[in-house]
Amino acid sequence: MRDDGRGRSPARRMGVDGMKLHGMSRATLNEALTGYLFILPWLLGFVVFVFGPLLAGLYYSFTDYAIGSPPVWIGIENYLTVTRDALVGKSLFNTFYYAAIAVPIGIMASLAVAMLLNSGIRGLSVYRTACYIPSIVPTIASVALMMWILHGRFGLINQLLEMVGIIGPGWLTDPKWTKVSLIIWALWTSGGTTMVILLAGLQGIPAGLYEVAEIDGANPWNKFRFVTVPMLSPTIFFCLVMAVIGSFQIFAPALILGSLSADTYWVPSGGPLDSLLFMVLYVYQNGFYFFKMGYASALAWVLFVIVMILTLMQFLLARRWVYYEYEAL
Amino acid sequence: MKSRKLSRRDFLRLASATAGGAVMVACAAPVPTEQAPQVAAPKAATKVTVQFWGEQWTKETFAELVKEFNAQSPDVSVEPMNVPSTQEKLITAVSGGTPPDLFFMDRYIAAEWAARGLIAPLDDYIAKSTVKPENLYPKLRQDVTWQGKIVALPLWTDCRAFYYNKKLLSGAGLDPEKPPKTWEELETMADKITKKDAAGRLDMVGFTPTWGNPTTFMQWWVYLWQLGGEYLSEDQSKAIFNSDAGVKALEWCLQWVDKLGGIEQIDAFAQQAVPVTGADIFTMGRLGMMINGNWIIPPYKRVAPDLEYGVATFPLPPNGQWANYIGGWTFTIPKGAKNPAASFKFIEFMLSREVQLRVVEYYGGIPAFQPVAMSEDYYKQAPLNKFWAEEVLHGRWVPVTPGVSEMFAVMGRMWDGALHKADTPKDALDKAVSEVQTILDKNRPQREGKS
Amino acid sequence: MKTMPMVWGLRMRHRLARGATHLTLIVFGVVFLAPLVWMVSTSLKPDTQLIAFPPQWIPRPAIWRNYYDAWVPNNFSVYLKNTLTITILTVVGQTISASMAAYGFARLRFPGRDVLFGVVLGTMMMPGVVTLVPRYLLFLRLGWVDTFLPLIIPYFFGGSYLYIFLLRQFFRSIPSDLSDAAKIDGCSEFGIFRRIVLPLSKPAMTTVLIFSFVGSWNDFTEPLIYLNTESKRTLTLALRDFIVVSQHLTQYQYLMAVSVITILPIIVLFFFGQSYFIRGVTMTGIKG
Repeated sequence: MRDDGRGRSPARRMGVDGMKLHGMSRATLNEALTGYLFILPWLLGFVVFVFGPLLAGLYYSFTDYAIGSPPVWIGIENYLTVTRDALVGKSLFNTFYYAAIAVPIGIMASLAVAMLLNSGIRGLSVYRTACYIPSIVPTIASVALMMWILHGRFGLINQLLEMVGIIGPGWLTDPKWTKVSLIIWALWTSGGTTMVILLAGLQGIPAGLYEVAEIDGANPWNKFRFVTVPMLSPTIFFCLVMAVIGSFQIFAPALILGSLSADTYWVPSGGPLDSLLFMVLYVYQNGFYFFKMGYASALAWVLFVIVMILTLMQFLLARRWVYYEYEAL
Repeated sequence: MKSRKLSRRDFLRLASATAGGAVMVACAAPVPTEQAPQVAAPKAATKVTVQFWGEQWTKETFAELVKEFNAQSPDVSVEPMNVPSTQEKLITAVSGGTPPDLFFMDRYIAAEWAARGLIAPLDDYIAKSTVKPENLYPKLRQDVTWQGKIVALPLWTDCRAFYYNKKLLSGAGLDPEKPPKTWEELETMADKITKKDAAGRLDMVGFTPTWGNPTTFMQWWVYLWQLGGEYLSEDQSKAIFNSDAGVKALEWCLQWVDKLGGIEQIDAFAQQAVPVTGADIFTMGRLGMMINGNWIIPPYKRVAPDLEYGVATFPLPPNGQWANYIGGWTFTIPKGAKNPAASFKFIEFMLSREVQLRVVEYYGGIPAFQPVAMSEDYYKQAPLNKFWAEEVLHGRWVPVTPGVSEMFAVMGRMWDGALHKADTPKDALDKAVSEVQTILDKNRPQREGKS
Repeated sequence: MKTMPMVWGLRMRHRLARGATHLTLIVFGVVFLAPLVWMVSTSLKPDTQLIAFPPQWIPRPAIWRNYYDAWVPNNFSVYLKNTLTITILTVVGQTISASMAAYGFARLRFPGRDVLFGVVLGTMMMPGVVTLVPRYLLFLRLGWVDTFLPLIIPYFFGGSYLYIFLLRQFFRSIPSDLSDAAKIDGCSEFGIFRRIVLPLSKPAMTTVLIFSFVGSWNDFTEPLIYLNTESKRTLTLALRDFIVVSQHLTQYQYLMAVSVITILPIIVLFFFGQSYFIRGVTMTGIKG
């Protein structure tokens, strides 16, 4: 490789003579082009598989598009239908109900376990493994298992309850209990991940802080409130945001558990009384069963906007309570 | 000073890494996809291959019949593929330009698919063949005719009957040879059989319209018809099922639910049988009477050979109409099939009298063609066949019209809401009618022939 | 003096606290693992013990044949082959494209870099459902529906952006002295990538490899939408059909058996690469 500038670099091939082009040195231009080359696969993929479809979906949402015939522009009619659609309200209700219960319980329980694990006991990796393994089990398998365990008559849970004289409910057939079943499943399969993250966060809190607090006469609760929580707040915040976004993405368990009590297996049911109808499932129904691609796209965008707003709200609220180390006290 | 050059070699390395990946995939991907036609290449040179989507046709007697056809046909070879017979598979295949050459599907979708232009009319091929659509049971013929053309050909149909457990009847002090003929008799007899256990849970149930076949809201349809009601107007443009008949039918179903202690109780009771293969609450002797399909008889013989039960026509309300619920599957040729004439040869083979008789003997269906169904050959296959053949004459079915899948979703909700007491019967039906009407209105252009 | 009982009390309290901690953790551990144990237990049960009351945890006798009876007649070997094919190709593609993009974002400067990386971050938070239908329509037009292509190709072009994020963090932490030295020796950027950064990133790369393997193996939604023909199904799809289609005849021991087999490779992977799993999850959370 020659260093006199007469090599076959891209800049040279572009006919740049001398050392500068638009104020950039040939070296910088080289680096830029190399950079683009490295991100090229991603960039192509982004345009073709993400951004393009995103815009296409926006376009479809303004059309009436039944597959087999071309899309017909109908303006905002789909969105108007969304506001009038009782099922949209139902699925949003289901999502919020689920999130309001599963997210706080999940985080608090995971935090509790993480703190216990952080108290310097032996066998940490064993407990951690036990709690984490359900998280990597394929969703379908864990759903199948839940189906069996929560079986109204022969499931393990109801059998155990019967042993102490309680008649368990129809976990998956009673609309009052289906979401609880879903929450149980969710806690089981994601509790481990949250716990591992929080544990790592806890381990990152310098022990010195606790010592200082003790010297100042802090009791365990004070230590928790004034050391643990603030130092852990970025991690908790992350778990919170991810959990909320996750609640809006629920699909597979709703699809499977929902199709149980209804015999209408040719329509992916939303569960008894639509108690398990979640937004993604509703989009799937409209797009892949009724083939109302336009309406499905509108629903998806509505979901998108809602999630964005919620995430934004969380970020704004974060300033109040999330403490980053580099901020002044 | 060295300049950082991206040498051509490195650039190529980068590009080839990505390209190599894509090429690898492009080469790898075709391997798992269906390559069977190539395997049969030596034959394909002389024979046309017909790709046939139908779940059950790769197994047992169905597969044998396919082989027989292939053997005796000089120029057509049918290749059955196991694709679930659900709507979306065909729709995407046709839209994507790769439809199968032959499709086996449930009859109720015929109109919807014809309206969407997914399946082709068969009249031309029928004219040149031995198939006589005028011999189809009238209702079946009506279902597969769309705008005057025949778009699907039924292979078999099925129907339901009223089943009663003789032992449970006599155990409750009733005559085991006298099934109820009216709704009132049914109610009285069922009450005598229903029992709860010490914990208050259902132990034995006399009858419930929420179990059996047709399932869920579809059983309500039977009662609607029995009461003289109709689901849609004659021209399929109006939803009229929130009539008195509709409400009464729904109320009658709900009365059973109330008597038995609520839908959750019944569901819990019905779940008992699930874990053990093929058994259900009827074979286990926990359900006294039910409405179920004609096809359960062979499995019941296997699972519960000692079960003593009788088969009868449905009990009727006062001045009620004889109505049965008939389903069945049909052959269709998707639009864009490569060689429809070849596909039709297989249909013709399957619809011949002898083959029909063999199919129903194996599968337990009822021949779709009336002369075949009402013949001694069919009757002698099994003692109940004469009964089935006649019941089919009084059969009715779901509306075969575009938008029917959406309607199913609406009706499912209606039924659920009523059973779980979220709505009164009248409200549930009114709501459903307005939703179904919207669907009908939206599909009017299709119905009237302008798409 | 007063200190003696106080000291004794403290140690006692300490031991009690420790004991209580262990007890609680044991309860949690048991509760979390019990369902999986029940899954295996059910898979080995004969018909009669399936619904026995009170519940039996240890099947007597253990019917190992259940596994054979569930797997073979239902064609699961084909599904296993499909899943392996898809997963391996996906992992290869994902690792290559993510590491390349991460390297570009981490160690090279080009106009618009930060904006584009912001795009990566933003996309990570985008719910996938909003591109579900349009992507399907795209693949439909390409004729890729009912093939493995939609499940593999996108991973060669970025795939899951989380890995780009993680790897970029990692690449940034590699001191620039190393790459500077290499450049002085005339090494091209790609050479640095290949010969210096990647070898140093083995832990991070392994984590990406493992996670994308698990992600692809467990994937359900994409195969659901894109795969039609029965012979092309993946294990997750087959499992779902096992549940839904034979709902009324489901013999739960068979369902549990195939579930166990589907889970097994992941569990094995976990036990061999535990630290990578923990590290991966941790990296996500901390850097987030």
